[in-house]
Amino acid sequence: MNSLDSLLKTNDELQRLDLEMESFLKSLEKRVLELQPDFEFTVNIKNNPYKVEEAINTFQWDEQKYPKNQKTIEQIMEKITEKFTSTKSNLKTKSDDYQSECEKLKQKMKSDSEAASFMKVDYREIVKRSTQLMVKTDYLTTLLCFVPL
Amino acid sequence: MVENFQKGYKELVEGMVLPLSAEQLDSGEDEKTSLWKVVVMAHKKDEFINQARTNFRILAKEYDENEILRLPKELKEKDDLKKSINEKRENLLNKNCKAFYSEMYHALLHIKVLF
Repeated sequence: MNSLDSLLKTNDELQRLDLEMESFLKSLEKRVLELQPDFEFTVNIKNNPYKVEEAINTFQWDEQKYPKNQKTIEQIMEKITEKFTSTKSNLKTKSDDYQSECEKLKQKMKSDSEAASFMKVDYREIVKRSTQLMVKTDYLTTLLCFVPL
Repeated sequence: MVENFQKGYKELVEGMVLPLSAEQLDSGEDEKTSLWKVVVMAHKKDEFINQARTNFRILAKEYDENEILRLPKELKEKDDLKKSINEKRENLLNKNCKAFYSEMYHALLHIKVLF
């Protein structure tokens, strides 16, 4: 009874892992293609890159990575689950880091768009050439006027 | 509009604008707008800004030295950030994602054959 239980459990686990990994790969594929539409996905087998279709057609159990002769299915699944979990968190850290840099740039671009609302060229570049004309004292101040032509 | 502005800027706030202080700063970089500076009495600057908007539909703002001093630093920061983003993007896609995809696809194939 015990072994039937564990067989059913393993089967459930396998299904869950299969679904989760497949959806992870699909979403990774989608996100990568958004960033780089001509990205080529490959599967590295024994340090050689294979196209996905080739990898499926020439599939052989990788005894080195997943020694099924020495380990039980549960142990192999555990190993794959661990890898999957660490890959997900690793990817999240890296992509969060990338996103936060993009966000920083967006913030910095805000001052540009403010400047661009006055003139097509950055007016600060023009003013920079004439700072000697600018008067600023306790009583006097200089105003910049954007005159439509 | 430029002619009207040149003639009329002094009267926008009576007696509070420095005569002959209007000077064009740009050299025609923008075909729709030209940039001028005028010197006014500091306590009347808001009134001038309002009058310029109402009478001439001209946008005016006070010169801010810090804004100009910050510019080279800002440009450099932006440039550095762009470079770093490109580098990170390249790494993320061609190193991390490539490796993650490959590793997980290979593992998934093993899961599939276990069914």
